[in-house]
Amino acid sequence: MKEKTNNWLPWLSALLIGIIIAALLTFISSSLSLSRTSAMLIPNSVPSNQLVWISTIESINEFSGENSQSHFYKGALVGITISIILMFVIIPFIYVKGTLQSEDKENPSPLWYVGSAFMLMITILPVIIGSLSIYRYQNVEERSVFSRTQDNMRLELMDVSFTAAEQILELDDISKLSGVSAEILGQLKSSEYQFMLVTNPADSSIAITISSEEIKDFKTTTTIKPYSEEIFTYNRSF
Amino acid sequence: MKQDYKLLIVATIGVGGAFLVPALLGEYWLGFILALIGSAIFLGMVYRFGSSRFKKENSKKTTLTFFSLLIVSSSLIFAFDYYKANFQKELLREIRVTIDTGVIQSEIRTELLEVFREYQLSSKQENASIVQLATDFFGKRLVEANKLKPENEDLEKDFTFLFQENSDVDSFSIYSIAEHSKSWDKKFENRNGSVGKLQTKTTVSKGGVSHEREN
Repeated sequence: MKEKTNNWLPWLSALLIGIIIAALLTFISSSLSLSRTSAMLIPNSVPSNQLVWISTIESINEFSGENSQSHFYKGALVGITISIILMFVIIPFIYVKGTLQSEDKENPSPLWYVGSAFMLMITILPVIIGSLSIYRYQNVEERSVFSRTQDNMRLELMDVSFTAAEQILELDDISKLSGVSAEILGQLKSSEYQFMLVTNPADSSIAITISSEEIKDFKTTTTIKPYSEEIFTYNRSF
Repeated sequence: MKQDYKLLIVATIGVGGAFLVPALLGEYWLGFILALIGSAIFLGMVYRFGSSRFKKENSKKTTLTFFSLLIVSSSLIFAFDYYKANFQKELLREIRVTIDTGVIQSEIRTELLEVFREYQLSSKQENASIVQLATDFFGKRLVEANKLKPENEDLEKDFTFLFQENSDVDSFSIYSIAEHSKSWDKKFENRNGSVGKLQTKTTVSKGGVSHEREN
């Protein structure tokens, strides 16, 4: 029993050291007010997460039309290179050297503790971080499908609204307004969304509401007044 | 110098270079794959070096487990992160295209609808011309090189609007190019000289207003 405990004790100590190092690194990167470049220079046990960070900044720059991140970009790449070298070269090497040094000894050498602590850290942490990341990502994907549907609904409603406005302008007689709505509804039969049209001959307007079975409680309405200064007014409700 | 330290230096330079060189050329995901391959080779060599000297069977097993776990978990997380980054990039591009499409419709298509409205209201007059009505409607906003200045000047940094008069068929078109929206064909030559950007064509004629996405 005592021998078994003696076998596990160095590993428990190494694990504890690994946890302390990981906590320290997390503290440094989150608590101190570091610039983005400096934060990227702190070694990370999941270097591909750092790549996602770069990719995100690139995507945001592309989105906003900015292109002034080359200094950050180069700094970040140096940081990731350091992480990769530490993780895949230095730490495994130290671990093997430490193990070789400790085999003949009753107690493992300090090099073994250093190597094992880091080795445990770089094998356990990625699994935890990866699992959490996948879990969180499921929500992101779900939310993006939701907002994509909303965007498509708005664009389709906008398109229908322009068609309706044109058709009203082409009318010789406003009493034929209900005919316009019937024609539009006929055109929309193939749409995957539901439309509701309400005509108001008093001010030559049509209100079109779009809804979807996919997103309950989300509706958006356009009121079209082709003869007023503001032709379209939009109103959405959840 | 001992052979193992030589190996360490070569691996440091090799693995670091395998990532950094492609990454500096903008191919950082490719760099990471190359670094992973280099690392797997290095770990194999370190394992061979260690296992030929290890005296305990446990040391071999533990080392092999650690190294395998390191490569497998890093590869899996890499694959997931690559997918996530691409998804994010495409999503942001899609959002940008949606926003720009909406802006073009609410600015340009609405204005051409107003031109059409004027045409409908004046159509009882003889010789009512769409081109003339559109030219009068936009007035000083039609500038040199067929450029149309948007009513909202803030849009000038994100869009280029070009107009075209077609007197023979009495129609007036506006090409809207969204400078930050990439679109279907990456090699598409936009009318303002840029390449692969979202471009729409909105035309007002006696038949109404048509709006189509060209790229």
